[in-house]
Amino acid sequence: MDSSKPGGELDDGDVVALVQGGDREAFGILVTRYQRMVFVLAQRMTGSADQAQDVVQSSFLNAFRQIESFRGDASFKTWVYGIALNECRMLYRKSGRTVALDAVAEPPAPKVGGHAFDRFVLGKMIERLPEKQKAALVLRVCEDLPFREIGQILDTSEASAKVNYFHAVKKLRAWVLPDPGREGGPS
Amino acid sequence: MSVREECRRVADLLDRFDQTEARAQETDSIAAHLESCPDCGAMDHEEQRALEDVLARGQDVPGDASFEDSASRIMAAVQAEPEPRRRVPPRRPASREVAQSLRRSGRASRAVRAEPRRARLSGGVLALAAGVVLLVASVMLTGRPEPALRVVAVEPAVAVVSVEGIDVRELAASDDAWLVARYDIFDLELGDTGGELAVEELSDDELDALEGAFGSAPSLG
Repeated sequence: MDSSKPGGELDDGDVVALVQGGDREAFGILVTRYQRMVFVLAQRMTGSADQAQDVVQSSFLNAFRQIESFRGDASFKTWVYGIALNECRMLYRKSGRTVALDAVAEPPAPKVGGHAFDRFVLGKMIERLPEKQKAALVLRVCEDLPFREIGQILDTSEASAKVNYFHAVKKLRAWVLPDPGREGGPS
Repeated sequence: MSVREECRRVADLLDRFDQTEARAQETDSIAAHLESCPDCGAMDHEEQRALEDVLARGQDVPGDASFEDSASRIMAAVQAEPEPRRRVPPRRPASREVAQSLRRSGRASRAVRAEPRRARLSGGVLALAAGVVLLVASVMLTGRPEPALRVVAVEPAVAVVSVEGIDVRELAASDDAWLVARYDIFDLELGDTGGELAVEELSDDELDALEGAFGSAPSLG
């Protein structure tokens, strides 16, 4: 790579082209640009800084291994997010942490008279969302990504990304928000 | 349908497709309703803030030094990686010439299918093809003369390779009904319709599998 040209002047497509052309050092530019974002996403998905760090490592290594297949249909960021979410999924599977919300035995009773999400309960419930719903929620709420892009990351359609997101919101509402007409907990 | 009825319908659909994907049409209709219905769709400001708070909680983003260290480890691993496989260029032009000359000679014609299908290597076809190779190999190993290749017509406008004594029509008749566009059984190239060969569209893994099944191509010249 031309060292007189800082990475900041190259857009992601240029950098990817360099890497695809055999310039491994150029990959460091992409790592520097996106590892923090990948870390934050992974930490939200896994709930663990250590695991997030592992996800960052494996995601970028896999991104490098697959760089030949990157064609620029989506942005590099979207692409590497997708890889990171796959890594998170593999972590979930290894640790058997995928738990459907409906499979949770008994949620804490909602606060009677409260008027907003109970944050403690909410945190616990988010952890238990199915992966795709959780990912859609995190990407929408935290990253403020459009559903089209979320769909690309989740390898699904825009409409499906939307549905996954609203699924998550609906569940969180049902579980966390006080509802005078409801006994609390899933049926 | 009233708004309330529509809300109930969408809620039912959402429940039904909790862990699985809805059909595209249903997904679209759910998404359209959620987007337009203020009762079902949008979170209010309070809910949004609570979610952001909770998702931000426990976020312990390391300092720059830690990320530099992380980047160094990633790059060390990257440098240690073997040379990445390049996308495979059009392969074995010599064999294509052979195929073309066979075609010109009238001994075979390129396969044509009424409805184009996407180029894809299915496991079933690969297994069948591998079986064919094993059969051929066993024939060769038992000292019988190398089987002659010939092209047989199986269906109108479908050409498959046949090895004498071994009918590979089932290969063409299998679910994906891939056409064998090449004439050396050791060097199968799975053909798409319209004469576009499929090999360039195969992933590296699929190519590995293909090579694993057929070995390297013997000279076709």
